[in-house]
Amino acid sequence: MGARVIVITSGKGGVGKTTSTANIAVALAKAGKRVVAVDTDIGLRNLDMVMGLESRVVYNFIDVIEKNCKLTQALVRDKRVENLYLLPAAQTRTKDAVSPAQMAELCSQLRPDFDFVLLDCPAGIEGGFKNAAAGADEALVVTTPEVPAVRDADRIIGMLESMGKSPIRLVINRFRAIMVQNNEMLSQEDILDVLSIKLIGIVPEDDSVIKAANRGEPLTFAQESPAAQAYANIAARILGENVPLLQWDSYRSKGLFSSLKKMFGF
Amino acid sequence: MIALRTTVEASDIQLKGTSFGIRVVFPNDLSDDLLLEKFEAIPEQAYALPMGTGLVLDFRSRPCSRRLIGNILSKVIWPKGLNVLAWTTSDEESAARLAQGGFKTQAPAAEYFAAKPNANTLDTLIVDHSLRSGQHEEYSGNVVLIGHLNNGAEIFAGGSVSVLGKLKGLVHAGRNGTERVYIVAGSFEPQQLRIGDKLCDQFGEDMKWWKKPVIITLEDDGLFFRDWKLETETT
Repeated sequence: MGARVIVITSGKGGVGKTTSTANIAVALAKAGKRVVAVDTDIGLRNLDMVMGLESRVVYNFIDVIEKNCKLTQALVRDKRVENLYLLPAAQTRTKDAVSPAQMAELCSQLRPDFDFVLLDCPAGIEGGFKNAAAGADEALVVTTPEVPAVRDADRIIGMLESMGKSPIRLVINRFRAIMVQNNEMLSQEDILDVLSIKLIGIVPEDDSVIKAANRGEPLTFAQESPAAQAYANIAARILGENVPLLQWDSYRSKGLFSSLKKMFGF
Repeated sequence: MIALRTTVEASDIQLKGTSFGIRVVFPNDLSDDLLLEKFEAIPEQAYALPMGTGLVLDFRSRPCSRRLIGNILSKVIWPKGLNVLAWTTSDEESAARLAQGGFKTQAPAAEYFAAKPNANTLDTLIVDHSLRSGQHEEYSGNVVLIGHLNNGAEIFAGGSVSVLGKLKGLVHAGRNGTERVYIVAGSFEPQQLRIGDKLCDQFGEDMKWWKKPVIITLEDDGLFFRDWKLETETT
């Protein structure tokens, strides 16, 4: 038995892999699960900053692989929530510092002590992706509603399928219902039509995501924003709960224009 | 396919041999009267192929009036006892007019498949899953994809290529230079297609065939589109 190992990947950069990893990790930990978020983006680590744990990083997982320290020494415990840990990447090394077999071995070492191992994957389809995916059982593919991001997601899904990862589920990030309504953005149906995998959640565009990343405090600690709610729901679905998809139109209808319409009776 | 024309003037009526008989291609630049005159002048012997069951009258984009239809019937088809299998046109008004008059407007499917000896004698690779971005199939013969060809995926075939789902990626049929091949798409949505040594990238949502099931062949150095409908031939 042991942990479910899930790689969070996308192909294209900048679509929200690290943000998704941090927020889902916090939400799973808040649900009482023992969770470790592993930053596999060697040389470009960010997860420590997004989780607000940058100042507490001493060792990284390359140190574990090279036996410079014990695994427990490299794990950074998040004091704000029980059972949440970060295993950081090395900032001064390159993707070549680790092999897929070593990553798989690292995941095997983590499995007995956790319920979930979340692997924050680097962008691209080269060594960094292959390393991260090697140790995973399942995958979350993050995309934004843009044609290039969807095509890259399609590429990654093909590679994950050929590696035997299952299930592979989709997170649509930075979704704007108004733009979809105006035919300016791909709709959920458009994206699923291309990617043909199961949707696990839609995260709306939300300014609080940027503020939270700059503060180093994942949104799901507070769960007050639409994006936080979306990430919490994704975590619940990972746990097998049947949570209906949020209707993002409802957020729009709560806006100023809606209030004015109500006020003037039209 | 055997081209039976002996002259190369653009305004000539072309007779093309097919497995079912003859496809009669009418030019755009003749008046109705001159067209009729030229059609009448073609001797009956020209239609006598050893194999085949009839004619397809192909108006391409030429408007086809009621008067022209009536004259073709009364002055050529009936007097010469010709069997017309279909009246095809890409002009929507003409197509509607023909359909309204009870004429068959879909050419026999056999034209596009049986009449391609190169393609039919090749082995066929059947791919039973969709191809995602970055995935690639290359085969010396024909390729049949039972699924979608996503944007960023590719099929390169020596023969013909049939994508039963959505064709969004790149297809190169007849990659060794042969042009006697076809491409079938369950839904036509590509950015670029290649047949033989020809390449075409002028596709978009404004074209008539976009997101429709089509058969594409190369004729007179241009891509030629037809509706792809599965029909049971009774003749």
